[in-house]
Amino acid sequence: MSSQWAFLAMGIPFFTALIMGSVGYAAPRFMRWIGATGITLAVFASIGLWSTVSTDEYVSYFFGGWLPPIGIALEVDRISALMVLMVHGVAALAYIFSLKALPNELPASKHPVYYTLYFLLISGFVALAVTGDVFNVYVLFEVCALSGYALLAMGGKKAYVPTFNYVLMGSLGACFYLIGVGYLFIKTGTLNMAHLADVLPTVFFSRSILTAFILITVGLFVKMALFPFHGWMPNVYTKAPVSTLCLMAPLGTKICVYVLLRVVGYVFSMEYMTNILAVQPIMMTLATLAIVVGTLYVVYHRHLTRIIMFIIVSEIGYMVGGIFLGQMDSVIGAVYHIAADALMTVTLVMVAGVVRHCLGGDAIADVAMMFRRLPTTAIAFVIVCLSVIGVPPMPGFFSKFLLIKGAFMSGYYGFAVALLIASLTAVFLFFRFFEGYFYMKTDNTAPSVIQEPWAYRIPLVVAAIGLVGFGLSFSYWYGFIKLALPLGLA
Amino acid sequence: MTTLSYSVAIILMTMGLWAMLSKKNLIKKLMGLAIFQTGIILFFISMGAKEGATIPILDHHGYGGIYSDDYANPLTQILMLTAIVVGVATLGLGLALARKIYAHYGSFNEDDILANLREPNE
Repeated sequence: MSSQWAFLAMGIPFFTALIMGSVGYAAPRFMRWIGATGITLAVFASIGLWSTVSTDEYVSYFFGGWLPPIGIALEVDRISALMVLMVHGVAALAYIFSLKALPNELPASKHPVYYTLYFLLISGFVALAVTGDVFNVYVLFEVCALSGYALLAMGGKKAYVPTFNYVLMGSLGACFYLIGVGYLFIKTGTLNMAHLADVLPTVFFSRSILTAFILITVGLFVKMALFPFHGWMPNVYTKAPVSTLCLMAPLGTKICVYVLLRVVGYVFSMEYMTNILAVQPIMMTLATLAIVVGTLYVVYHRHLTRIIMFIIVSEIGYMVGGIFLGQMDSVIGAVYHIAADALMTVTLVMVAGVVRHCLGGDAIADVAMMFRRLPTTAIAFVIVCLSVIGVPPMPGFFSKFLLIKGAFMSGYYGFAVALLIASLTAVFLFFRFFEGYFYMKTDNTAPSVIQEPWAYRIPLVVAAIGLVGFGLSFSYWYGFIKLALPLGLA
Repeated sequence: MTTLSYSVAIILMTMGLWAMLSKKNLIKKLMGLAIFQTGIILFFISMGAKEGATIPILDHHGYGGIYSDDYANPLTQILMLTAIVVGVATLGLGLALARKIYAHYGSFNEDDILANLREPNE
């Protein structure tokens, strides 16, 4: 039984998508119940998976009973279980949020196809977290990307051109990844991650493996919008419907960082990256640049949605840097930050969505208005701000602490400075919103308080509590992640 | 012989990449993507090909012994079957988007579209 959880976590959203597609048009009334059932079962499956790996450390599932390297396997260790939990947790929040947000944005006739793609996207994300095969990663990238393109393009006329550019960039990234996998296959004759990790050390000094490493990392960088390749991301995300954004913005880029960790840490091994290839300085420069540039854009922009997009760009820098630092603490920090950042981003995006729908815009003045008119949203916003800044009991503090510790231990002081600058900028940024509230000129007519609909309030409150809880339970997660780290960390 | 097919694959990939990045016309960009993917498919197929080998189908259930040298590697072909499906889906989606863009902006040219796209203080 225990090994079934890995498949269920991925299969439940997939079959929900199929049922949604066939039932949605015939009986639209049942649609939201199908979705609610699907997402609830999926969350249960991810909790089951989590409790199983808490005791067993490792869960495998072999399709058709064929053992790897011949068959295809799902392999779940503790890090993937955390990712599955993250995907389903965020997806559940985003689904509740979309119940109210989607009718504001799309006509009801499009809801069945929207939710079909929505669940397909969720199952793609989960499958990326649990798969144990490098070629499957490519296919799942495309499963996520294709359903994602369609969901993003539903933002209407403005979304078409950015989405078209995203189609080109996303396919390019995935194709680079695929060529890299081809080079690995030529040299080793296998596609299974664990088997590759066994075989690769014998051919470490081959030039094909070097080419494979470069192509795969560049492909993943494009997919995850690391700084020089980030151009597609802010445009496409700001034009998309908010309900799509709740799912895509937190998960789309984070899961690519996870795949990067899987490929660099477990397939190529940390030793290859640090000692044989010695790419660490280049990668750290990229990560530092990503943080600095993202931060600069954050200061420059004046709309909350756009600000969130560039916060994501700089947070990607944190995680990539954490992985390539190669210290035990920094990798734990990076993994912890993937989950923490997914939770922070989904909260921020939901806040932006509520502000956009209830107050009609997301410029700084509108957001400042939120403190007067939308108290629940404002509380959630303050909590998530504290986490982005990195105030102690929040998860943002612990991941930054570990990353800075790792940076000092391996001597990349620039990265540590960039992290601190990002924190300070976040303080500056969020105080612009608070300032707007405290010093805003008000006419004497006190603006009325708007009650958020329940579908907005529940996910916001749960996400805020979840953030605090995730931060407070840090020592548990530290021990949890520590047991699944790749070998060869300093 | 193998060098030739790899060279063709690389040439196709570079052609496609160039078209994707430098052409202004959206349809040409999509054609570039298709050419790029074709290059990758050829690259993978060349990997599994062998001198004097045939398609990997056992016609008489292996009477008289099966020699792996007689058959091309089926794995790369199966992988590319998946990649072809993905490529078709991507191309279809890209063309649908291009059609929407044309309906809205009346042009496939990127410059014209960008000129129309500029909005005050977006």
